Amino acid sequence: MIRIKINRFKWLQPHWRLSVFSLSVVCALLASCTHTLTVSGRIPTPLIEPLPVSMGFVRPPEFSTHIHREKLPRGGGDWTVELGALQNAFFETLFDSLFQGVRPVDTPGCAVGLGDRAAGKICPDGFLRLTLLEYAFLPPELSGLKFFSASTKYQLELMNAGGEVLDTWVVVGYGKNEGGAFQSTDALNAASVEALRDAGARVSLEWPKRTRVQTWLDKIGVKNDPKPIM
Amino acid sequence: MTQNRLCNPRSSVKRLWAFALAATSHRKRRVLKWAWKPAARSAAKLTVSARRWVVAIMLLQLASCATTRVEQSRQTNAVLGAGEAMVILGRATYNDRETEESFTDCLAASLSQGSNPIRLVSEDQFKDDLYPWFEARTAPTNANDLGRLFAEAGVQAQIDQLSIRYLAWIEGDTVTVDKGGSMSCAVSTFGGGCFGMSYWEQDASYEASIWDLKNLTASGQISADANGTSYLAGLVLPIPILARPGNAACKGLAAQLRVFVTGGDE
Repeated sequence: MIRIKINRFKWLQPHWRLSVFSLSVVCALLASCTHTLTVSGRIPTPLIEPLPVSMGFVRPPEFSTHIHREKLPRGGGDWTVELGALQNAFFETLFDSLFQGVRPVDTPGCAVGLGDRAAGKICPDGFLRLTLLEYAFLPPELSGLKFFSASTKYQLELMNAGGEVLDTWVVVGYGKNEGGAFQSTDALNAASVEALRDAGARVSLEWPKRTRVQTWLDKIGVKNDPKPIM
Repeated sequence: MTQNRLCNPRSSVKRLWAFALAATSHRKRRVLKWAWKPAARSAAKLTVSARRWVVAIMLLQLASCATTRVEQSRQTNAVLGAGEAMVILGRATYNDRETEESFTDCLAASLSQGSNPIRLVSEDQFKDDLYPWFEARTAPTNANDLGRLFAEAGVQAQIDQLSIRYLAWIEGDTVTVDKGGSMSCAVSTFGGGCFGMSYWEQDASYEASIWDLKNLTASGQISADANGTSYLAGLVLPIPILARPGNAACKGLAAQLRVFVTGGDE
């Protein structure tokens, strides 16, 4: 007769405890998948002729620190996408190329007194307020397509030197990227960068051609000859 | 027009024969005796008779080739000069089908290697240096737009600085046109394995439109179509026999593109 000795408390032994812990960790990971992404990419300098105007660039404080958090349905997991740093650097570079002079300001409108003028401070020709209205993305599991897609929606408000709003334009940028297996964050990063670039391309090429922007340029004595976009 | 039959080197006859020889040598080393796990034992039993079923796989392997058809139309006879470069761009669209990045990467790798390498400017560098003119939304759709684009401030100077003579737009994709069969895999405490067979037929269709950035004209088009059927046979172990028509189309298109821009022989 063979007697089998069963140790009912073997899971309390160190190597068993490690196995149980590892299994719990794997189960926890499978149960709730968390993705964290800091959007990063190259920031191109636009190859465009700058408008001969000086602008005050107004951004909400959260523009450079924007974090998008979303829990996707059907087991898509929790996503944290840090877009702020890249979008801030991207639009700073873009506006530096789009206008002859740009300086960041907290509030629109000129309040330059005689003392300021003497100190060399001059009032910009206008102000541009840029606000991120929405960032959204769709993974392949939800869209049924084979790529990640991302979109960025910005609002551009043009204000004259006095801070009066002359034009409001909402622009949407779109990007997509086909990610490989286990490369979902890389694919979303690439799609988000493409969405940012798309929005930037529209801002640099389409915004100066808007009728109200043209009217404002004429009013401040700037000659701008808008060419049709490709 | 050229037509080629390109087989996946990973499933070449030579490799299969090497596998059969390896199986025989394992038998000599008494693999069966050492195969104490049921799954490994089953696999080992099969490898012993590897020479027999290698014949069957070789028959399948004949079907795992991709047939490529390359056609070209040429409008000018200009070729790349010394120091001149080419850029390959995948045409981006906003629908669900667009040229895969892996395909343009494959083309770039093929063209920048070999006995007659072509100087290529990377897609990323080109798009960055000419931002925002070659984004999906803003890129010119035909060569007639080049004149207007080159009139924009700095564009001509940037192209000259990079010494880019040709721009090749790549359009197309690889799609699965048919699939069938079935295969199931199971794992248990006594071992596991896969049984059955599945297949899928893919069609790769790509076209390169070549623009001459010196003369601001369209130079010609090259199209490459490839199709092939891949198999996945489950004989305890899953054995993939891949046709890779996308790769075949890439090789075919790259060879013709090289001839096109250098004016040399294939």
